[in-house]
Amino acid sequence: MDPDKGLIEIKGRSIPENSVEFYRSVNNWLNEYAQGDMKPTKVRFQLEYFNTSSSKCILDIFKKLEVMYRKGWDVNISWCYDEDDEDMYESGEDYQSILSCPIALEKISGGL
Amino acid sequence: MLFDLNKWMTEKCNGDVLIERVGTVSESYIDDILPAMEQRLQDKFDKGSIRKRAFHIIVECVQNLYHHADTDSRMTAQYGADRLGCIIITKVGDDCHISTGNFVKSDKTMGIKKQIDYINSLSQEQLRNLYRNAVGLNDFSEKGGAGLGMIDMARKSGNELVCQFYPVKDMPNLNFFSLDVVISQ
Repeated sequence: MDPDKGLIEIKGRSIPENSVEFYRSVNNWLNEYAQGDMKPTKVRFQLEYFNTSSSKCILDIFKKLEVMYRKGWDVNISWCYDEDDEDMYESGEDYQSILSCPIALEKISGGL
Repeated sequence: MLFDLNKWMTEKCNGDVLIERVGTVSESYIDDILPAMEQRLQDKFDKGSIRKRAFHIIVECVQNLYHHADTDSRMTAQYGADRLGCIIITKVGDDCHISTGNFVKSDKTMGIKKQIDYINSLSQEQLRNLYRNAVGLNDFSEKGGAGLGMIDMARKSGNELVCQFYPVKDMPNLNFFSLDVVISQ
């Protein structure tokens, strides 16, 4: 997370046993960031795996971004998936269906 | 039929056994089993899609054991483990079979059975809608919630979840919960 550049990247595997605790610092950081001056913000989710308890925490992050978007922030969200990973693509579609802020599904070739 | 752990293990170890673990489900149990499992899947399955789905479901299964395995002092004394969790993964033909077992309090069995029967009655599209609804619910805790893990297992495996509850000798407050998931090529 780079507040100066307005860049948030969440990458890799998210399979913690205690996801709520794990994501607490991310949520706190995002709350603080959202209190600051509006700036163009690019958010990239580039996950290889995530467990179901993380899926709820990821939704919470999206909801915070959605609030920012509604307040007029220029938030550009990408959900990246490997070209062979149909499940990760469907997960992106799941989030698109739940949320009203735009989420771009971005295909990555050759593995994440 | 009363529960017999050895017999259950023998029944589940049918095919090419990739991993077989019985013990207290702790963070180190999980940290130990997942990398080992990933390597075994890499060795045994050529297709990346089945490896990925199997690993995903194994993560859910192991974390279910971690969060939901119940115990009592007699069980601990009999099996030498607190919060016993069993996982057996086999390759049968081209399919990956995942079997888990843990003790649950008897008063939870009806709810679990009902939830699994409901999930099994749904089409893939209905499962997807159920997942989307469940992920947005607020009744979610550190232990999970809304049956999200089970829904996801059914969704990713494309097959029905098979569960069985065994009564346990001298422990009327506990049942052994056996869950089988098959991931097809």
